[in-house]
Amino acid sequence: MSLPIMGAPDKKQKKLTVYTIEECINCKKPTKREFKDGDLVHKILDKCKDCDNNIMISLIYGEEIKKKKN
Amino acid sequence: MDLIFIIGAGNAQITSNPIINLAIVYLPLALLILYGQKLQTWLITNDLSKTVGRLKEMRDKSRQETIDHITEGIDNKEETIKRLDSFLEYFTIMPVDLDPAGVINKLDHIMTSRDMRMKSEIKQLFPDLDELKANSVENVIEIATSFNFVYKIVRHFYLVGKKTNNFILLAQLQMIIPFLMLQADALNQAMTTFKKNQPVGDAIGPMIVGKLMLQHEKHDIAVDTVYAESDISGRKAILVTAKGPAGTVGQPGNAVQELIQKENPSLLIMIDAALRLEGEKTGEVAEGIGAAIGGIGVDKFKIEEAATNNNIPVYAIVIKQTLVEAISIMTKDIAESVDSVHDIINRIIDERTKPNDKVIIVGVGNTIGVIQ
Ligand SMILES: [Zn+2]
Repeated sequence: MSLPIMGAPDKKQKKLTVYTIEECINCKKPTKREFKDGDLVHKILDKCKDCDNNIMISLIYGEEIKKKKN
Repeated sequence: MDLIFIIGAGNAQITSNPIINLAIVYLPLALLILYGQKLQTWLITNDLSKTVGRLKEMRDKSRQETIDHITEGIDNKEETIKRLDSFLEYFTIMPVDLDPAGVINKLDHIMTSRDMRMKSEIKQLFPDLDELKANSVENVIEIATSFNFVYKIVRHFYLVGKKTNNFILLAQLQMIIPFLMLQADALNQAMTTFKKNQPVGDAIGPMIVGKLMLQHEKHDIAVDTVYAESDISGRKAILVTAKGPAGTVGQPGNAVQELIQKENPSLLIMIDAALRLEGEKTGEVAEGIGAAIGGIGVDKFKIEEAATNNNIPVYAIVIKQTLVEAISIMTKDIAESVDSVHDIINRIIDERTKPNDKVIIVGVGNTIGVIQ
């Protein structure tokens, strides 16, 4: 057996929520929402309300939901 | 001091009754000496049987998920399930490497025929699927096949160890089980991601190069591989990556070979995901030298050979992540490395090339969920 270069398993499995980041290609204002089926990175969506340029999906990523402490 | 205490314990009188002394101290000692290994074997077998059971559950779940995914809206379910079960048993025989000269060509041939066969059979089975869905079906079947393989190997060693009562074999299996479970876990998460066509951690290379390719004309250069030409600080940048948004790694080896022949660039930059070591941070960006590309070695060989023959330096930029992260949904840390890698590319080009030079930039990885 070779040394385990692939690393060790995590003790707790992380629960990730998938988010989609939309960004106007001109004014770069990002909005974050939950992932919908059919979302793809660099997909062109609607026109921007402010400047009439295209809005593009810039990133899709999974993020752990942090529970708020009361 | 401890040693003296243990030696002394042999003579210890726990009670004044010699029979109770015998029962408490010497009898268990004798039993452990005689049957200690049997007991340990039994414990390990028990532990392993639980793990094998869990793997079986995971395998069955992955098979069911695959069936649900590919028979979505299809009438002829029976036939499809039968075909899927034969897919799960597909194997690839590696070429003989006793005489290693030319083994890469054989390997290339075998892997290409395997991909082609898989593609054409899926096309035959589901003629109406669009390219994106066909690719997702192919990926999901591949994951289920890997799952089946991991399960069967573990079960094999478990059964051999149990049948022959081989303590060493069982102990070895128990030692590597956590790492096999790590892979099983990764495959489990990959299934969800690939079904939904979401980008995986490994897609970071194609995503970084794909962003540079936006609004430039794309040309096909090899199977599932595209390139585009752009301008980066006065240099001609030739951008190469697999063709998204379908889940494929393309053939970067063939593409780079051909482009080096055609364009004679002065620099080759490769961007890929790399396995991070425990203690390193996910999404960390590192620079180095050499062909940053994983896989079975065919593409790496082709790129190294073309670069060596034409005396082109190969620069590598890698984004660190774990095995699980590489094949499941891209995490925030990985996704946000895009801009810093773009900065590094610009810096390398400024420092290492002259205006009007040509630079090939390759985004290596599975381009699932990413459009160029
Ligand atoms: Zn705008």
